[in-house]
Amino acid sequence: MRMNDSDAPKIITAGTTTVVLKILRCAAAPLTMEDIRRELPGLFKVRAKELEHILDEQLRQNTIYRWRIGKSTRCFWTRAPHLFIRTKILEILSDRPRSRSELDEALQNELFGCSMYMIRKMRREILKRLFDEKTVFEYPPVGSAKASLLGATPPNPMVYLKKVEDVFRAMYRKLEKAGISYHEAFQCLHKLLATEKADADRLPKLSADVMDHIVAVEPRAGKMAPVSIPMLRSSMDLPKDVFDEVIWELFYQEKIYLHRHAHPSRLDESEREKLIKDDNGNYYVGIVLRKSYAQSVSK
Amino acid sequence: MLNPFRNKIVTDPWNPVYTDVKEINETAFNICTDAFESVKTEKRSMSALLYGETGSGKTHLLSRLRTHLQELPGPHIFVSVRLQASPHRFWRHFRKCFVESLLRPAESGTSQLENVFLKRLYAYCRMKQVSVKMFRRIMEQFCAKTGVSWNLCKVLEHLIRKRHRLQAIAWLKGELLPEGILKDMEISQEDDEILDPEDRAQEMIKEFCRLAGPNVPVVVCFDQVEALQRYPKDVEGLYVFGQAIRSLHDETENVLLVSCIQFFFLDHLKSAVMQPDYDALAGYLGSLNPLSLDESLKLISARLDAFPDLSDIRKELFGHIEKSLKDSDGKNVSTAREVLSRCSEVFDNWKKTASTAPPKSNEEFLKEENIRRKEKGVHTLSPENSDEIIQSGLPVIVNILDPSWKEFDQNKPPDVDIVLDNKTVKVGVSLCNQENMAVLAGRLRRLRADMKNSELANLVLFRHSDLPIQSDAVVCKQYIDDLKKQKVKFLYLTTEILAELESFVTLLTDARSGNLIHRGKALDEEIVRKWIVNHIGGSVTDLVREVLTIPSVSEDEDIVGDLEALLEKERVIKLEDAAHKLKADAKTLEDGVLLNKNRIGYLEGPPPVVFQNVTDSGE
Repeated sequence: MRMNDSDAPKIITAGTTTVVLKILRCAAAPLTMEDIRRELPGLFKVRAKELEHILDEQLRQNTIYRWRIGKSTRCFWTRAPHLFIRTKILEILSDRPRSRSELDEALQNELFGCSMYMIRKMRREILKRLFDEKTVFEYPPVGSAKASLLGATPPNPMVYLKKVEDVFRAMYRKLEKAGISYHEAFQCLHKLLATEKADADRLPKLSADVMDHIVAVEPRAGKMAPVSIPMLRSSMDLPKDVFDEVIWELFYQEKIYLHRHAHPSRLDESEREKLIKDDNGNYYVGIVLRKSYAQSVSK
Repeated sequence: MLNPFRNKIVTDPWNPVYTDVKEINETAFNICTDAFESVKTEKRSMSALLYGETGSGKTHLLSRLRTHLQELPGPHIFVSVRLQASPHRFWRHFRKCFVESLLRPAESGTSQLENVFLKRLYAYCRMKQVSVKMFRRIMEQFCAKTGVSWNLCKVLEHLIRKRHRLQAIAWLKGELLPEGILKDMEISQEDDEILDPEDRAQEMIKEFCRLAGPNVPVVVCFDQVEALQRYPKDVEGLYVFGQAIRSLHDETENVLLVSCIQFFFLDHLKSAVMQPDYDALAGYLGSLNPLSLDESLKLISARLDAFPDLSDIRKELFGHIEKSLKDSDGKNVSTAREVLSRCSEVFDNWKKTASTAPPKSNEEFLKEENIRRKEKGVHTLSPENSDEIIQSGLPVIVNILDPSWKEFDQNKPPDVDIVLDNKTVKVGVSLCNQENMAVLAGRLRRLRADMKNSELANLVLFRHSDLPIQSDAVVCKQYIDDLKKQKVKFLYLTTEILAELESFVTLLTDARSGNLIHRGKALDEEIVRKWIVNHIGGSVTDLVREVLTIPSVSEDEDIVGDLEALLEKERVIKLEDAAHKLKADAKTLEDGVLLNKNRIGYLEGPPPVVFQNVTDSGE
């Protein structure tokens, strides 16, 4: 077969490719093929097919990247879209924290007419990575705001704890009249918060400990035998509130049933203390393992 | 429009189950049926302990079990016992309930007792028709082979032949029959002196189980175990219960013992009974747990299905209730009774059928309930119920009125049924409702002999007013006179007093067992206890006063009473003249007057003068 001259690709010299890459590198925005051909000097002018061949080859080598702008899907630039948008996101968020919709709007101004659909799609992917890298942070809503904000630095706890500070100061003013010093009150708050943090960390381990003790206190617990809460409590060396919290945790995890005392008023205060109380004034006296969990224990 | 969620709670295992959701408490139910199968196959007695909150459906489950067993092939006996009894007459109460259950109809229409007896007898002799003479011979051989007493066989024969039916039932329940009737029935009198009535009742229950035979399981359900507690922290009743269960468990081979208890009471039960007794009681364990939302909805759906009249609005109503339940469901723990109660309220509000009258207060509810129970008691109680009501109720009521008095449970003198102790003195009560005058005379004779060395500061003999001492019972009358001289009080009780006492006690025990329901909730025992203190009737307090008031050693009631009668006429009289007119010793009369200054006016003299004391009545 003989090839027609006009159809045959021209022998492309290395110089043409270099010029194309230079044009794209210097461009302020992605260029279409027509833009690139227009920019090529006369000596390096090539036909459309030849330019397409050059661009395909560069795309394959990842020296240039395809961009989708407006209706055109054939825009090219030496800057990768993901990296470019990532840089823009960080620039925008470095300025000030913004909500997602504010970020999308700001990006649209920077992305040469990319569709909002594309922007959101890419923003979601990029933000996920930025969150994982802890480069961008999500701020919990504060005050009357409902939407969370995004920022390039971690949220300032002071903004959030201001309310706690107000409550603490108000409480302190009451305690002050009873002769409590600010230092003492602060130490107590510190201790409380420290205990809460420690307990929260210990909860999963304690749940397992309590389940072990249930079986130790009542060997037939695996067969749904009843376990007395006062007996279980006395078998464990745990502060009352911690023990109660662990039992509620097991209840919410649907591992146990809780049974109420029918006549708590018959008990004296010390006996009631050994039970578990809920917000409705019910006192719980016993535990039975749920069937699914009891079977695993009995095995 | 009828509220489908109201008044359909099963309060007795013999009640029919209107609606039943199999998934609810299925595990506990399966435990019972597994235990039943074990009794049948392993030929040994078993036990199951069921526990749950008030209103969790324990009695409902027993009813479901009864219905299920009826559908199974092969005979069985189902017995239900509500444990509202004194620890000192546990076995007698148990025997009475056992017999009442045995007399309920079995699948063939005849009573469970006759059904089982005839089947057993047929299995033994394999003859469909026998002559009377041969029947007697077969019975003799049957007794020897099965260990069933001749008396029981004879009574069963009367039942089958429909002779002396009422007396036969009374005998089975443990009532002492007059000599003439016993003779007519050809059964021998059991000697009260040799065998304790409790032991006799225990032996009879074991005989019933032997009568059923190894192939017929006897399912005994104990409900309201908490009612065995007479007052807070009382353990005696539970201890006796534990011993009874172990005895039945170990000495029979065909009994399934199912005990129902409130969850909070478990610790108390464990600490009150001996460990081997608890092991015998809790062979299988079954928990009746709070309902999940899904189970609650199934229960509601079943209730609505049982009311075809509601079919037009069923869907809308169910949706409304479902939303209401979901809205209120957080970490709430709900029993079946609570769910139904909540649904009842939702239904009333939705249909605007709620009563416009303000809801009854606890006080009003208790007052109405007391009147209802009392009236029912007046119409249903008979002298045969006296012993049980007094023995179960008096210690409870005395303790409510004065918590320092408790029943003394150890080493009671013979023939004294109740001993009350306040750590300073002891007083006793002997129940003398024997219809058989010979039996009564025996008891009075022993009491008279024992009184000389008795530690009791007061002894009261009670007899029902419908059982007067027969005119020809000279010996009994003589013994009563002798006892009166020893400061023993002999009092007749009317059915009204017994009904009142029983009403108060059942209100309290029902509250303790979580079965006294007002506005969908179980009333607290403490509320009922306080209400009783404020509303107890004059006749019951008089009864208590007679028991607790200790007669003075030097008091002579007859003389003081006679002097009061004399002063009605004379107003003022010298003591010496009064003694002369009353034909009494002046010193004895003076002692009596000095001990009763609240009744008789007295001036030292000389000469000493007595006069009618009119101060109180005059005011």
